[in-house]
Amino acid sequence: MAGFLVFLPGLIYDASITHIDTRLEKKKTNMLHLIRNKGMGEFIEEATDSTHGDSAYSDYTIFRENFVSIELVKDFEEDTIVTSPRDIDSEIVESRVLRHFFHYNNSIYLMEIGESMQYVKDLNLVVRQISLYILIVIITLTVLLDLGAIQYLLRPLRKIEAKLLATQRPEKFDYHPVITTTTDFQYLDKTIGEMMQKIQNAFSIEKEFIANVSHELLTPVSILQTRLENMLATGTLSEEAEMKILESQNTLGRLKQIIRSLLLISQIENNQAPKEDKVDIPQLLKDVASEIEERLAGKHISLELNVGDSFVLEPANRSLLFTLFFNLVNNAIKYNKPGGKISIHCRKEKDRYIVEVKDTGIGIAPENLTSIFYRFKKINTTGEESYGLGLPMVKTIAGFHNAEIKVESTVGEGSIFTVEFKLNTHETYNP
Amino acid sequence: MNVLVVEDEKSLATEMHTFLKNEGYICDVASTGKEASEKIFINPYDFLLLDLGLPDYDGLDLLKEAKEANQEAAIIILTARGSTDDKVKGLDLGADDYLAKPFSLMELSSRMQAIIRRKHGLKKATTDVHGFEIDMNNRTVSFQGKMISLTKKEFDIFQYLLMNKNRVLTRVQLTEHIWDNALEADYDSNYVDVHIKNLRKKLGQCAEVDWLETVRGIGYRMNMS
Repeated sequence: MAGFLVFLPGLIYDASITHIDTRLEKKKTNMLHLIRNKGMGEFIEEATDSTHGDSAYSDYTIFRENFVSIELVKDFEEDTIVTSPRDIDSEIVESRVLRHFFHYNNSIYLMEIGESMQYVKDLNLVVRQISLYILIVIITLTVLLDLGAIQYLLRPLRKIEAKLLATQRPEKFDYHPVITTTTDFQYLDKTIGEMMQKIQNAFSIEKEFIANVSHELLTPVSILQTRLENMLATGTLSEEAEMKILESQNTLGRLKQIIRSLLLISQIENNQAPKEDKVDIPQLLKDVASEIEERLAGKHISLELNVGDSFVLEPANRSLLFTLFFNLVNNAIKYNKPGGKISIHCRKEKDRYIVEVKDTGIGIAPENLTSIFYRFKKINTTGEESYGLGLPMVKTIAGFHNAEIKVESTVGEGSIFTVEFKLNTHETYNP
Repeated sequence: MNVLVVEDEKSLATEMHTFLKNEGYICDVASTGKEASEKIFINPYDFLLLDLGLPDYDGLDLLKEAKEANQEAAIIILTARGSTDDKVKGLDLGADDYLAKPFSLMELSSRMQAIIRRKHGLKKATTDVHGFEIDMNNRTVSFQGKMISLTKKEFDIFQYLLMNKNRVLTRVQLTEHIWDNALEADYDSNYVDVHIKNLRKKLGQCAEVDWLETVRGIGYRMNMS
């Protein structure tokens, strides 16, 4: 279609030329007919004027667009039809001219029948313009139609895309098949669904495993703890034995802490943690600060609280959020220098509420920054105990509250942990 | 006082039995829900220490049964299922307290004493400790009418030592008690020593506190006659 429109002006031009040529031929026949019937006298006058010299000449113009001329020539030539400029009324006009040589009374005459090409050119121009407009309209329509059709055809793909975008966790994936008759899309949808299912299974097996293992460990640990306490209570042991028991109690305590942390993390990840509290974050931070006061004093660390106005987060889990900030501040104490400083700042931005915990501690090496939130990665270099679960727990709790945790650090200068609560967002949880 | 320990883990039941016997309780053990159910039906217990995770019985059902059979019994739920759901359900069904496994026997003892005080109407709100009046309900300590201002943790330590009087409490036991969320306990710190030091200083301004004894490297003991 578009191709046709591109060639249309040319076709019209050719058609016009053919048409003109036919007309010229017809005129020629008419003229010859007239000459045969009426003789040359009607048309030709003896060359008396200076312009044409000795040649006989006749000029016969009906309109500017058409003319007929007959003149006496010496040589006979083949007939031609050419397009050439002609001087008509001292104006150059592109014309189609038929040249016909014929014998009459032993003389050779040249008859030229011409027709102006002007209207063909005008017509051509108009056709070109119209073609262009039509072309533009057609192209626009085609593009729109194509886009529409593509959108329509790709609708299943969009749905699959939307499903993936909406899925932050495999168990949140919409396993309903996308309705489509295109087998490729069906296959794609099915494959993604199956993959999600596999991932979800792997996840839940892992979570269940951690939960079960931790749970199973609680009973033997209980037995050990009570046994150690009973042994101490007898009061008949040697001092050395008592000290050993004390050390064992300590070790057991750490074991309990690891198990409890793992259980808590898996509880959150399995969505078994309640989220029903309204928590005023600045107030919570004050509570954390007062709970941790003695630890600060023990290391002569000063804490600056700049928490601002009340900000209530809901739904939330107060005890988990307490653990989150307690861990952050406790780490800031643990990895601080004696006489160091910790500052907590809160600020509200357009779409988020930000809590910043800054310390003047030993800092974290850049290569460790990404791994500190993974379970059991030990980043500690001071020789103090670290169970590698404090920060993973912080991250899990933050995720549970749809908050993001970030860290910046300079070795030897300190670290800044930032918790960013997104405002007005619904419960979407990324572990 | 009659106590029934319902616990399917034999070793744990044995340790609890040993401890409670030494504490002066008359102690009985049931290791299955069925056995427990029968014992509850026959004997009037003062205390039921109930593990919710029984293999043959829903712990919460047993709790309901116990409440029907013996209204007077005080019930403490012991569970390894860390879910707060269980805790809430248990307390709703009339349990008096809740202890998450693993728990300390000293913690169990002090919880039981608190329940006894509450249930059996030890009307006297205050206890005399070498001249210091300790008010468990209002969480205050005074000496000859003069209030001594203690921090929350100092009071917790004082009370815990009192509940376990004449027994050594180790640093670990004290640490676990004052940080009720085990996640926040710091086993390698000397915070307990700092608290005891401050406690002695505050009390020592009124009277001798040599009854608050440091026992070698192990821990602390409140000596009472």
